[in-house]
Amino acid sequence: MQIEIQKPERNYRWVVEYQNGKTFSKGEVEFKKVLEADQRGEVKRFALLPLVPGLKELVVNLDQNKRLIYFERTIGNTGNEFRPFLVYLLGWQETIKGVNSKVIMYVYPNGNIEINNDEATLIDAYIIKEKQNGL
Amino acid sequence: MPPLGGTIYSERQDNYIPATIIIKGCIGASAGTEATITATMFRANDSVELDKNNPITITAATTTYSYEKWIRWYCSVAPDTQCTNFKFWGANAIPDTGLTLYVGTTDTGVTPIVTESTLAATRQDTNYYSLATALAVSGTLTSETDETDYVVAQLRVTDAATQGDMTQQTYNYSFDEN
Repeated sequence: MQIEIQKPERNYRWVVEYQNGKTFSKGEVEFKKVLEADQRGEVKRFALLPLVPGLKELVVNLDQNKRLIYFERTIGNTGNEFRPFLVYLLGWQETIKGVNSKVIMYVYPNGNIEINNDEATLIDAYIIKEKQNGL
Repeated sequence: MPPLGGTIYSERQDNYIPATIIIKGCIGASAGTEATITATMFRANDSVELDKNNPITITAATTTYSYEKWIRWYCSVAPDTQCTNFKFWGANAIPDTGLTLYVGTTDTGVTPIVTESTLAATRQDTNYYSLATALAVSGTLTSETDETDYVVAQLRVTDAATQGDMTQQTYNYSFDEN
């Protein structure tokens, strides 16, 4: 029998809009195709749309110089002390005067957003809260 | 600029199937026998079973070692692009008096041992106790059957430990998918 890691709930889905006006959502186009199009400067904007009430739409507007950053980070545990959850990483990379620059929004399940140019700092605190809440 | 969601996508469903990632326990020669696990037992045999056979014996004035536990992440349903940036960490405290977990990573399967591990050689509770300090596990999973490197863990037991079952410990992991 195959036992999967418990999947976290999904609170957002992404949507991409290309410069030619075409739009696709997650499941309609592979994300690797979005990245390829972004490398060609063809992505106009990329959005996270809420799947649950109370959350807000998040949009990143891109241009020829900005490259999309998007990941869904699964945080889980072996002892089921808390329900696995997703943190959405949404932002862009840009080279400014030869210097690599990143801006990343870390979007937590409750809709809180941490903006950073490197690693998130609040995920450990969020895990502690989730442990207190239990499964 | 109008919002993307309200006008265009409000009726669409999230029909995307994310990757399925499984944790495998690896035993036997070259850690080559893999089985799906959700937990592991530190004890004195090389097994993925969750029974209480072969407990670790506390020996006076000596450190005793569990069998190394080898685990890795396995992709059973492929992601759109990749699953990467795997990390592993636990609490910032030892499991109990006389009990200390040591961990490490390797890309090469080696038969688990019950003597002091050279692979699981770093204390978990003082080194890998948060996402910020987590043990990084190499591996980018793009296709079915892809696997990460191994995490090797070993429990060291001194004679300060007390007899009986250790309380269940929780260890955290994370990975990024897109």
